Amino acid sequence: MSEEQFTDEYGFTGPLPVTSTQRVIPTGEFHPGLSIGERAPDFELPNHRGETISFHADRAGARAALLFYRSAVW
Amino acid sequence: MSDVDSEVIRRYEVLNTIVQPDDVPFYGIPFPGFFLLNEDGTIVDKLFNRHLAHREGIEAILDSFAGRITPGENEPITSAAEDDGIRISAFLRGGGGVLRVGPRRRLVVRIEMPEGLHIYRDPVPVGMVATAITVDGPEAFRHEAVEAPPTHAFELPGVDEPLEVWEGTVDFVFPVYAASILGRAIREGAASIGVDVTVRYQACDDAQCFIPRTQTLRLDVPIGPGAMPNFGEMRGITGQTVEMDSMTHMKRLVERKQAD
Repeated sequence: MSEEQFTDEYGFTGPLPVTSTQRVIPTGEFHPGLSIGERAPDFELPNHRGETISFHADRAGARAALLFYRSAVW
Repeated sequence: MSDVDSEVIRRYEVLNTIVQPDDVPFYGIPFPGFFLLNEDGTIVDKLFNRHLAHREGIEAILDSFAGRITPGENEPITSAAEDDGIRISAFLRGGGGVLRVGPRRRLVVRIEMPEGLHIYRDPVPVGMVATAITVDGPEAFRHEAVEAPPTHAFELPGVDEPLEVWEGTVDFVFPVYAASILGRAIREGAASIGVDVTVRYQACDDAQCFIPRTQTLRLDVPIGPGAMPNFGEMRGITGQTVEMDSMTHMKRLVERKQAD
């Protein structure tokens, strides 16, 4: 395959061809996520030490930034 | 935190719906971005990116919380002032101003006007000059459409058409990122790239206008390698050792997804 098949319109060169579904870039309207003004749903998830984090309880009334990314390692 | 089954990703409605369920191991990933919550847990801001490799820096989050953009201590900044009293600055916000493949930065063009002066947003009547900003850099430097600040209506005697103007201090923000060919410049030993910001405007007060100005500022933007996640073994400040080898984690992820 040529290098062009791995470089997308943003100039990003990745390990998979740009036609791979995980590399397809959404077009048109793009507004994922709950809306501003909505209450953030509560949840429990393990952290990197295996401890269970109860989101709203553990932030204890503090403001919070909740980041989503596909993985810490790839 | 780890959302192995993408349950929270779905509840927050950020699941990447382009990736199909049979696409192992990629199915279940979110669109990258963030929500900001106030004290009672209400979402007060959010920002998500179309591109899988783009990440918002911590500065974008802090700026959203603060409601204003403040240049960091080491972030590149340049400015110039004209005799109409208008001062124009350009600075690269985020990551200490270092451009890398992956993290998004913000190129901020700040126009500071003395009280009583304003500048115009397009469209304007023939003979007047609307504010226009262009950003030019090498091929590795990419930017998206400008996020312009809000205007307010202004009535000029003798002009029938409605006019929209900016006054005071306003920030025009260009989301910027690096293409992968930035790596070539780094391999060839370059430490920075030059980015030109050109601002065309005409300042007026209630009675008169100054001659139109064109101001070009050059930013010397430091460049650095992209973040590689394959850390091997990493010792945290609390003493525990975290194993961060990406191939091991990828193998586990594939096995877990295939077992479902």
